[in-house]
Amino acid sequence: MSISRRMFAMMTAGVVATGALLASSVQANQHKAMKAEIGQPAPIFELADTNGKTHKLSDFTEKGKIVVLEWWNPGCPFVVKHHERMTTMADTAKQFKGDNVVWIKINSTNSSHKDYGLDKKMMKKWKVDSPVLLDTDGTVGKMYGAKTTPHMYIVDAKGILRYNGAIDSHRGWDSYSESDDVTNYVEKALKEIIAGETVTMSETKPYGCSVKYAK
Amino acid sequence: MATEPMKPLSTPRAHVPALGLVLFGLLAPQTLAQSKGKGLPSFQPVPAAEALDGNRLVQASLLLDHDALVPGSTALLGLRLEIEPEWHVYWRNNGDTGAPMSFRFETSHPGIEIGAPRYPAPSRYPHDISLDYIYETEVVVLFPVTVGDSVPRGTATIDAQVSWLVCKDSCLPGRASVELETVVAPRNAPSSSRTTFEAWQKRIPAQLTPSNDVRMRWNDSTLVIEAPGASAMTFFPYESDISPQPLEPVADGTAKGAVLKVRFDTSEVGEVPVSGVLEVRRGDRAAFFEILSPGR
Repeated sequence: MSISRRMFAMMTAGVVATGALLASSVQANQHKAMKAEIGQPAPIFELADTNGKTHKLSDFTEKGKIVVLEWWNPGCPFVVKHHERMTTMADTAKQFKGDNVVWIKINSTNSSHKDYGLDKKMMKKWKVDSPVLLDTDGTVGKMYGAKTTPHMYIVDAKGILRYNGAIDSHRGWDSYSESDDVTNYVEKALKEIIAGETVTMSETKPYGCSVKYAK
Repeated sequence: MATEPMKPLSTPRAHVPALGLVLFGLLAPQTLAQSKGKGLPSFQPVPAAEALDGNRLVQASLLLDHDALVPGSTALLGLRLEIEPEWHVYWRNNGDTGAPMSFRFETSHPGIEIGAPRYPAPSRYPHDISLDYIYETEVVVLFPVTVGDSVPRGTATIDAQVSWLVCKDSCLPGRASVELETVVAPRNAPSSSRTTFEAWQKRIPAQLTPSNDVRMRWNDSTLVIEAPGASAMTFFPYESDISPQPLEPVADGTAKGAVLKVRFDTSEVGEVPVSGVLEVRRGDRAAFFEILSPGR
């Protein structure tokens, strides 16, 4: 039995359309399935900041920037430690300002949580000038496997993940002084990346409060 | 939906947030070991006006298992934390989030020495993509007290400073200074707290002996733990700077039956043994053992 030309055309169109649909869903699944692995491309994301402006990871890497991602929640005593009792994040960011390093904060707190919505007020109080991206449904946090606030990641200018872990080796919520022998892992890793070296401590155990994902 | 005003958790000249006030109202009155104003230095410089609301959610006290300390012998000190319902503090290995407690002791005589803590086995608390090891309601951490031969008779005091992180949906740091008054005497008897000590001793992991019938072996980089007759087993790894950590603690850390298979990263095992606490349930009884993995 022969099929009409029209039938053939419709079938072909159907096959092509299905193929295209499959390809895009595979791409979408790949996007979702991206995991944070050292030495691999960091999961790509697109999130709005507290002013509603959208940022993509590639916005920065395409300009040759090294990106530091800091998972934060101003309601967490460990975040308060680094922004108020001490100024670890601001000081580290300032240290590398001339080195094409961009510091981005991401908040994955869900909208029902009592810590939700503190960003603008605390950004003002703590004089935060880096963008704070809102990941309210937690998708990006879960792609990166962000467990704590703070949880730090460094993506180099090629979009490769180079560091995943704690900001430093002082795992408490109180401040510390110069005489305490504390390693700032992010500072160390940034120096190595900028010098074109391997990051010697590329994965450390993060510490902090839990990321308040939606239930 | 949060309706109380949002405030950062600690600011100089902090006002007690509304949440703290609500919880304070829920707490039953507690008899605390009174802090006796010995002018002990706090071990972190904290602005005096800073209100740590985590103080209201946990009540700390000290207990002694005997009614006196005898020179040339040991006793057991208990640091008890009573925790507000639905809140929790953390084990020595907090797991993914949170932070363990910390302590500092001072005694009235250098011959009275407080030894290393013995932590009761915790509970597993999986949430989202994380797994923590926690204590709820109450925990008593035990400390051996060794009394030197030359400690003179008379009153003696043990002072503890303890700090913790107490969490529910949010986390609050807290601290307390507590004191225990006792006597140094030639003889002693079990104190009125002995039933508390007996209960908590059951959750302190014991050293594994052949009679416990627990076997461990490596299958590549999977630690296979077998306890014939067990109805369930749970593994609690020690901190990551002491022990390799399971690759999949949520999936592998607990199982029904007599076999537990815990996967590790090949590159991590073989150098440092895996250590931690094993809970073995046989019937309605749970026993806790400190384990150290064998060589591969």
